[in-house]
Amino acid sequence: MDDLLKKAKRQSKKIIKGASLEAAELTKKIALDVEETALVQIKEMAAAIRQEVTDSKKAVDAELLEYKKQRMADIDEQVSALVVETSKKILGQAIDIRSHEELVIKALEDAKRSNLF
Amino acid sequence: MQNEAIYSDLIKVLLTREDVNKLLWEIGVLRESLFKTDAGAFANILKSQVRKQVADVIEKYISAGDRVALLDFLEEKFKETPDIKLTLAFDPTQETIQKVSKWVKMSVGDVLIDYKVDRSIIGGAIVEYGGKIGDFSVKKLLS
Repeated sequence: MDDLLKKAKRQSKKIIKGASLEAAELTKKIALDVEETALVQIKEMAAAIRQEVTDSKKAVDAELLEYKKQRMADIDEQVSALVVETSKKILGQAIDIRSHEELVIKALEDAKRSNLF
Repeated sequence: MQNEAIYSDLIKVLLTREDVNKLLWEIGVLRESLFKTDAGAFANILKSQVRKQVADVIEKYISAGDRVALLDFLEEKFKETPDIKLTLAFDPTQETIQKVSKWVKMSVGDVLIDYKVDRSIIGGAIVEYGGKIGDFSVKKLLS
């Protein structure tokens, strides 16, 4: 009876040990799978974030370039308007009647050259 | 022939559309005088209400028999005379008008000038003729 009990104990210990080993092995395998999956997902996420950052930077760069262009055009326009206004004030006062007449005749000559007549 | 001669003489002294508008008014007054019983009405109106330079030309050519026809001819002929619309930056003096008309007669022909003033163009002129327009102003050059 004792022998039988001992044998059963040994057998059960063996089974438990085997099961433990199997469980450990399985746990290890699951851990590895999780790690692999996590790594793949992290890599994918990192790539997506990198792509998003690159796209955003490109969009910001393009917007910045457009803004710079617009600002430069605005400044050019303002400078031109200032030059024209100043010239108008100076020339409007400076042109005497003889010069006016010469400019009118020149305008008529230009009109003729442009086949307006 | 006589009609063309009077037109030719008048276009030498009538340089602007404004001058011709006045002529059209003078022709109207002269035409009305023809229907008055007073035999001297035409001569009186010619002397009192028509500019001397115009009256001199009309007096030189017109005879009692063809007054109506001649006035009709002048009215039609001057209405048909083309205009150059000229926008200037200053009020043209009589001397300016003479100079411009001299150039226009030599370079374009019998054309009237219709002057407008727009000081914002600074100098030069905006020229309109036969449905076409050209901006030869200083303002345009500066912009």
